[in-house]
Parts: sequence; C-alpha cells; structure tokens
Amino acid sequence: MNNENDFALVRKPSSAVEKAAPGAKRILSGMVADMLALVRQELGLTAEQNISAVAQNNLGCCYQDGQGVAKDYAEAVMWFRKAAEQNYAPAQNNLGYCYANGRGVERDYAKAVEWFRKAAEQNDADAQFCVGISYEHGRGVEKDYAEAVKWYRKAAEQNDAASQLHLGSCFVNGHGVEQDSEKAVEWFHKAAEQNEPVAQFYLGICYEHGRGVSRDFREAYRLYKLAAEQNEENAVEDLKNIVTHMTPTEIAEGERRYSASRAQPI
Amino acid sequence: MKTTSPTIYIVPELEQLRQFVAGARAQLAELETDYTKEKSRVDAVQAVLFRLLRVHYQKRDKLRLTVDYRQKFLDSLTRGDAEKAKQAEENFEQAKTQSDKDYEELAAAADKKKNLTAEQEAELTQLWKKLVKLYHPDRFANEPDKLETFHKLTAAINQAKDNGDIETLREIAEDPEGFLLRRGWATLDFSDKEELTQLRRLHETLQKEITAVTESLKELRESPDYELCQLAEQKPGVLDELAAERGKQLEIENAELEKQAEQLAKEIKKLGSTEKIV
Repeated sequence: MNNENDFALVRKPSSAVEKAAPGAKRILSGMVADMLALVRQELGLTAEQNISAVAQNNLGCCYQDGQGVAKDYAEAVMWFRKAAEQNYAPAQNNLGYCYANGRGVERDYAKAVEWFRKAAEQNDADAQFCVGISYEHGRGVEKDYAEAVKWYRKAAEQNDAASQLHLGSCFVNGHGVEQDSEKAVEWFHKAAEQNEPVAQFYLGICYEHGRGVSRDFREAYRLYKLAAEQNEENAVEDLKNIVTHMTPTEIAEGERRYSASRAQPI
Repeated sequence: MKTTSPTIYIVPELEQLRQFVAGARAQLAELETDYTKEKSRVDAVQAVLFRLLRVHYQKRDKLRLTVDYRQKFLDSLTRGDAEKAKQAEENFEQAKTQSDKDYEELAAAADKKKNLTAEQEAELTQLWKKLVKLYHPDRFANEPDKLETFHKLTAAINQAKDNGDIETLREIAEDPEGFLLRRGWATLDFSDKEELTQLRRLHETLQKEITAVTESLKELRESPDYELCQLAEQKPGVLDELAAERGKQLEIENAELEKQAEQLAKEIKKLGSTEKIV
C-alpha cells in the first residue's frame, strides 16, 4: 500500500469526492462520520454546517494567533461567535476577551461580561475569573466586591492561580469579605505554588511583615527571589531591601530554599 | 564624493534578504511542526477507531455486497439473462477481494501507528528547524539529476511527516548527505548561495511552501477527522464508549442484512437455479 494514503486526510463530505475516493479511504471516512455523529450527540453539540463548536473555536484561535493562517481578528470573532452561540464555553470566553479588548470587534465591556458569564455558569474557570474581575473593577457591570469574590472563589477552588491571587487580595483589603490576613495567605500560597509571580511577591510581603503568618525572612527571601526572576519589579526592590536585615545564615537558608523550589517544578 | 560601487547598496539588501529567509524558515518550521503533530494525533485516533470497529464494518460491507449481488443475480435470472448473472457474480468476487484487501491495508497501517510521545513532539520543533534548511527547489532547477534527487528527498520527508515517522525525519535532519548516500542518490549541496537573485528566489519558494503547508493545515483542521480527534481529546474515554455503542448498532444492522441475504438465497433456489449461490 502506498504509505502516503494510510489514514490520509479524508476530505469534507462531498458525494463526488466520496465516490472517487479509494476503498481504504472510504472505509475510514465512513467510520469517522458515523462516530462523529455519535460523539456530537453525546456531547450535546448541534450540527452547524460541517464543523462542530470545538472545531469552530479552534479555527477562531488559529485566526487570532495567526497560526497556520494570516492573523485576522474579525475572522476570529466570527468563528468564536458561531461556536459561542452553540453554548461552547471556551468560545464564549474567547469572544468575551475580544469584546473586552476591542479585538476584531468594537470594545464593549457589557457584552464581554455577558459572554464571560455564559461560560462561567458552565464552570469555566477562566471565565469565572473574568466575571470576577469585571465586578471588581466595575467593567460592564456595577462594581460589586461581593459578586467578585463569589466568582473568584469558584475559579480559585478549581485551582485557577489568577483567581486565587485576586481572592487573596480581597481578603487583604476586606473587599466583599471580612478582612482576614490568614485566609489571604492561604490563597496566595496556592497561587504562589503555581509560580504566579505576583502571588509570590504578596506572600513574600506577608512573611516579611508577619501578616497572617509568622514572620520568616528566609521564606520571604525565597518568594521575592522566585517572583524577581519572573521580572516582578517590586520583588527585586524588596529582595534588595530584605537582605540588609538578614544574617548570612538566614540568607544561606533562604537561598537553599529558593534553589530547592527551582529544582522541582513549583 | 559620490561612490559608484554598487556593493554599498547591495550589501544591506543581502543582509535584509538573509533575515527574510531566516524568518520564512522559522515560520515554515513552526507550521510543519504543527502539521506533523496534529496529523499524527488525528491518525492515532483513526487507528484506534479502526481497531475497535473493523470487525463490524468489514462484516457489514461484505453483507452489503452479498445482498447487492444476489439481488442482481436474481433479477438477471428472472429475465433469463444468464450472461448478466455471470457478470454480476464476477463483479461480486472482485469487489469482495478488493474490500478484503482494503481492510488488510488499513489494519497494517493501524498496527504501525503509534502515538508520538511528548518528547517526540518536543523534538519535532528542532528537527523541522533543520529540515527546512534543506528546502532549495530553485537551486536544482537546471540540473535534472539533482532535481530528481531533491524530489525524492522531499517525497521521503513528506511521507515521514504524514506517517509521523520521526525516526526518518531525524535521520534526514541530522545527516542529509548520509541519507542520500545510503540510498545511492546523487549528492546535493544544501548551503545557501550568497547571491542576491538566488536568495530572492529561495525566499520566494519558501513563501510558496509556507502557503502550501498553511493550506494543508487548514484543510486538516476543517476536516471531520480533526473534529473527531478534538472531541475525543476533550472527553477521554468517549471513543471507546461510543465505539461499543456503534458496534451494537452495526450488529443489529448486520443481522438485518443477513436476513435479507438469506431471503434472496431462498428466492434464487425457488427459481430452480443450478448456479451456485455465492
């Protein structure tokens, strides 16, 4: 058998092509078409033209990133919208980003939140974060810290680092929740473990000043350094500052901890 | 004083062209990497599907052919056209052999198909960076034997790409001259010529290749094969589960076809045909 034809691409369903295709190809394309129908049904996808919401969203990403095609934001928006209207959460989220950033479509925060919310209600962590931040800053919705906290928490519990960071900040500032430094530290910790630089920096501050956690310069040193190497500028400053208050033994220990964090994926 | 030397003008342009060529190569390498990865995933899903469902589909295809043949055979007998009946039998035998052959071919391909490991996927980027440097179709345009070698080499790369055959890609990328030598093909000089027109041509051909790969990638991503692969990745286990369901559907369909085939056989017998019933 000509190797080039093994599992070769089967073209879009077109009766003429189907008939002309050699037997092996026809067998495979038949199997694919049958299974695709079943899988779509199983996932509750409605058939829109020839491609599903997943593929439409994917195509949208290709146009957005210029991957394999010329970059075209308007085209990306068109595909995201097709998929989003089929209630496909990642596409709803992508479309929300387009509205929020005025990319391929006129900037419209209210529309952005609308799409984010649709995806967030399907438990899409990314979208939950976006809804949260919209409420926190009053973008496209009335500013409402309690709502922000509600959405951050949903995403944070799904281990979304950005949401953990923002939820921690809400606890620090008492925004939408009782001020609670210990809870803040808890959430910063989770985000910092995922190498989120701002969370590492904030957690470093908590350790340096003993806020919500016992003061520990060595730990602060480790965290500032991890954040600094990710170009977190404030951490660079604080790192310089904190070493002036540390003994050589403490610095050595901080350095050891830092290296240990580096050695294994955080 | 005004200079008359053209080099002062040409050199920056050469430098710029070199950058264009490097940029085009980087883009091409990235596209080829994406294509190889995604094609390989799509093929892997199809191989899984084929293994799971082959038995049912092969049986169904054979039954369909049988029913179709017996129907035609019966019609011909009723009309007393022995010649046509014989023709139908010949066609049937041929179609059956072809179908078996197709399934055998697919089975062999499915057996060979392995998922690329994460390391192999990562390696592809490096390999393609080297492979795109071999792309010089313009260079050999006026030398038929070299051009032939170049075409063979390109075909080998493309075949390896379509099959996710990373060993061959590696063999070519690491030592292209050795690869040509081992096959007894003519040697090719892959270095870039430093002349303006040649670099310009190279850049043009690279652009064409980028367009071609872009098109293939787009076709792949718009294909039902790709969609199925995406959905399967989105919900692990869904393929096995639904293939089992599809298998059950086909069993029912096949039982129905068997009934039809038997019914036709009976009718043929009733006509008192002395012909054997295939």
